[in-house]
Amino acid sequence: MRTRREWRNMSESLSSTSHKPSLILEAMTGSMSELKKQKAIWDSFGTLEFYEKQKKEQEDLMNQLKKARAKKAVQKRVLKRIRERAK
Amino acid sequence: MSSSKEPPVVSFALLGETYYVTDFIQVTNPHLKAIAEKLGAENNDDAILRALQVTCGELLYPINWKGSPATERHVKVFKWWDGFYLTDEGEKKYGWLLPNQIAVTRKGICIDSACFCTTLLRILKVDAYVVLGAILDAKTKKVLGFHAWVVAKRSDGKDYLLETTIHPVTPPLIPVEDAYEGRLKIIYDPIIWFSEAEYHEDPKRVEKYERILEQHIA
Repeated sequence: MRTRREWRNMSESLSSTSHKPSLILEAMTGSMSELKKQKAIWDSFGTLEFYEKQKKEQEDLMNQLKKARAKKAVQKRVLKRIRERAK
Repeated sequence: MSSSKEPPVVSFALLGETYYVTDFIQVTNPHLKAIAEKLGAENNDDAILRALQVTCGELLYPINWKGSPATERHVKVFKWWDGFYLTDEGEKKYGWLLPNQIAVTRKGICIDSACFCTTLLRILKVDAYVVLGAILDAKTKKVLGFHAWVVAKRSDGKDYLLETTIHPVTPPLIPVEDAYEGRLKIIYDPIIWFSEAEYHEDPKRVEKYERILEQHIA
């Protein structure tokens, strides 16, 4: 563990002494307005509709999943009650 | 424009490991070399078109269940005996993926697809580089966010912008003047550019945008 920590520290010190600008590079990790920027690009290239459709499909799938989970939970509760009564 | 002998370090790769920014153009990687060879490009301009086609056609932008760009990462490597993981980054920030990792995951945000496309182009000896910059609203000049794209030189001697986050259709090549001077709905404002061998930056723009980023963080 000690070695691993030392290695991590080495990596951090390398970053701090190296040539900047790390802030611009870090901005590429999607920390700032990723959706806003990406939507503007997709809109500019006329492909926003494709992403809106994809978003809708994923939301529908998530709703189906939520319903299925809720149904399963109810089934589990009912089964538990039946078993308890049978005892 | 300034260039430096030592390029900046990227310490937010997938596992938090460290690379030079220029390491993200993997011209000697066997997987990427095989993909580039398979493109069957006949000349410089054909290579540009095919590299963009494969980037836009084969990759996807990562989207979470809400349909928003998924920039989070959670890496687990080596399941340990007690159920914990030996490496569990668990950070919210996205980690830059190397082009050969993109070739496997088939998903990546702007920086990933730009490095992937540039790698293919550089293997095919095209004069190309990755550009990191800001995206501005053409009307209001407001910064919408930060972005990465590719610039490649065609045989007519002109530089073209390759937008690598449009999937699955291949977008047209855009003359850089059109993209940089606001002839589209958005303005691409370049700050840094690099390939496997070179790194350059615009010091004035770096200062300007770092100030914006500092304000955003604060």
